[in-house]
Amino acid sequence: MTIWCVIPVFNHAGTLADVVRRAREHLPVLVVDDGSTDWTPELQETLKSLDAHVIRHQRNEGKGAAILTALREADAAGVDYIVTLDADGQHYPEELPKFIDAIEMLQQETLLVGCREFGPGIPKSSCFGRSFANFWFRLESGAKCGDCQSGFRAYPVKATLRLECAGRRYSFEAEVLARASWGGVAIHDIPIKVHYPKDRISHFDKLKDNLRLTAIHSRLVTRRLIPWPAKWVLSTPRPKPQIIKMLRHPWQTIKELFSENATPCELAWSAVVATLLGVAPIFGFHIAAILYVTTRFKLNPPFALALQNIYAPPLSPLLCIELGYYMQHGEFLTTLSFQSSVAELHLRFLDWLLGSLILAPLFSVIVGTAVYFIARFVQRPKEADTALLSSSRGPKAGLLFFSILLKCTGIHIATACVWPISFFYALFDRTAAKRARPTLDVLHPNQSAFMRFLHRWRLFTRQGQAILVLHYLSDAGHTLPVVNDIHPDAAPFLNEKGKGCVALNSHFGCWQAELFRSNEIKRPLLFLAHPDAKPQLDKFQAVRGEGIAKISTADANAGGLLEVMSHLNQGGMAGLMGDRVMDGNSIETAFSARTLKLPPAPWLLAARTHTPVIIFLTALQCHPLALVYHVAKPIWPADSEKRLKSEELAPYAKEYARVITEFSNRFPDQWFKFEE
Amino acid sequence: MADTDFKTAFKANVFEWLNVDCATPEDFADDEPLFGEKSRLGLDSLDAVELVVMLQRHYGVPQKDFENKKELFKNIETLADYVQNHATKGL
Repeated sequence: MTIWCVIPVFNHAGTLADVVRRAREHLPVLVVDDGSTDWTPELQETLKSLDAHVIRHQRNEGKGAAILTALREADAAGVDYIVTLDADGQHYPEELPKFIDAIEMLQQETLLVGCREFGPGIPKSSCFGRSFANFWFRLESGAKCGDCQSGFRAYPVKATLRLECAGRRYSFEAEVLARASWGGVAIHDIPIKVHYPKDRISHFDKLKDNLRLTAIHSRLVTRRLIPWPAKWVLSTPRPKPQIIKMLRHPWQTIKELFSENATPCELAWSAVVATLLGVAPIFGFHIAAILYVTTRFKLNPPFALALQNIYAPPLSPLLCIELGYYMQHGEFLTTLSFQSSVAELHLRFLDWLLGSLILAPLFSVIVGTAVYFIARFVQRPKEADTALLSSSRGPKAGLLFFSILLKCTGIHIATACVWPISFFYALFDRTAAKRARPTLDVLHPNQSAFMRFLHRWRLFTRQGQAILVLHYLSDAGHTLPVVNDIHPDAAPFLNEKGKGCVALNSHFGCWQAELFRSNEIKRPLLFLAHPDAKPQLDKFQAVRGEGIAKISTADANAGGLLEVMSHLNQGGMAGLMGDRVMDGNSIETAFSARTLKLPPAPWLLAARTHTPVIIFLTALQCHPLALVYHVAKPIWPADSEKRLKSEELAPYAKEYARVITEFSNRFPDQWFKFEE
Repeated sequence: MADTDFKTAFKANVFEWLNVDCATPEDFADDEPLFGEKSRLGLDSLDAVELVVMLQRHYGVPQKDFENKKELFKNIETLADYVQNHATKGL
């Protein structure tokens, strides 16, 4: 790779020699004098002694022209890249190696832009100007650049010369970026330092150059809207549009469309476009126009299309017509007759146009701002969710929706409403589907993909309904019909005080409802739970009443087990989770196509306190809506005069796994929550 | 403070009951931590349960005494001290 350093200069005789001397240490230097009036023979001599090549314009043609001169000169000399830096000393030539290293690494022709690190002491106007320029560039090209105004750049010589830039002054630097991006040239940032001396002389004419910039940006944006491909400047051919891939994987394409360009800013701009065009009187062309503009500006077309539905007739046109009518006649159009609606259709169109000129910008500001903040809220980093329904899938908004639905319609209709929603989860949530697959394969072996989907849908529905039922039961006064399925040997432990027992719960079916079930068990219950589940259990405690239920968390002394043991010794009932290992110890056992890790603690405690383990299982029955409570035959683990080893407790844990298996075969549509 | 003879016997009992095999009672100091990550023994909550069961059966110390008393489980020293003062048998 041959690289030159190019220094365009206009009336910077004071700083030029120093900049050239420092740059010459890294690269051959070409100085393009753009008709300076302070040029002296001494300066010429100094540059010569510094071994810099000099080209002079007879009169001032602009920075863009100077760079183009340098590009042509470099091309003739077979140079691949030129690095431009400003002659006023704001750039550090010592940073040239950064560019040289980056160029050596490049795979394709790339325009490197030195991105100024703005610290204290940088003029406010520069900061604003930069953000503004970056915004224009983003709009024009859809690509991103950290500092579109920076003059410290590396241009690929051949590709840049092929671009047809109209600007010859400062506007050149804005234009060349957009056109290069259209032409296939990649644009990369290189972080650089800048030096703004107090007596810095800038030749940027605030009025004239800003006008030139406005003109060039308007041109570029308009050009971008024209559906004719821009000139391709790379030596490699233009990539073909991937229509075949899109047709073969339509779902993938839709998903990509939604997730692409979905930052809050991009969504907000999409909303603005959808509003401006959605309100405009272009009846019949809304969708096409919105699709076109959002695609050209690399915004989010599906989002804009979805949003424009809120401007669907009749409300939005009616508002515009009324406003337009009011603007012209000072009163609202109140008579809706054949005359006013059909015969004077052209007048109504005029009203519509007039009204939309006011309403479209107004709505776009409101909707754009709203979308921005909503998107920011929705996309914020997720916090640990320890709310009541922590086991739920889906966003908080969904829960809010369902709690309102519950209040308005009651539990029956609300549970029915889960079906259509879980349909989408069953269809699109690949992670959940993957997780449910092994269980479903055991319960319903050798099914077609469609049948698997149906089973999955039912499973997801039941899970959603279980969450809903829990939510419902957690409000005091709410109950559901109960179908009891209690082993006779277990019955005394549910009702008689003084009979210590371990109540073993599982993450199966509507397991949280189990907690509310203990409403009916009028005996002291100590529930040992994971600290994360504390908020959920506190709510349960509030329903059940202080004094009856006590909650111990696993971060207490010895994981709360000593407290539980004490409670059992006093003839109390202790609730433990049978399928969650809280400590390192576990007993492995097979369950429904996978290995389940079960905690030995419940069995150890029962053995040591001479109490039975009673397995509680709950399922949600839907027709009619009821909770099925299954209480299995008590299991009495044997005590020992020696330390009890895991192997000695394993048979009991296996028996427990057998009981869940049996129950899950009876209720194959119930969810078993394997993982946290 | 528990006397040395009691501590030695107590430590041997604890090690035997818990089947400790990563250290011997002789090379395990009385002030070394029993539980937690810093401990060589790496005892867990199940070991705590078993330990309390042993203290009740062998020394007659009521199990309830150890509830919410994390400081007693710090090391052999603290545990032996408490057990010697509250034991009803096995001394």
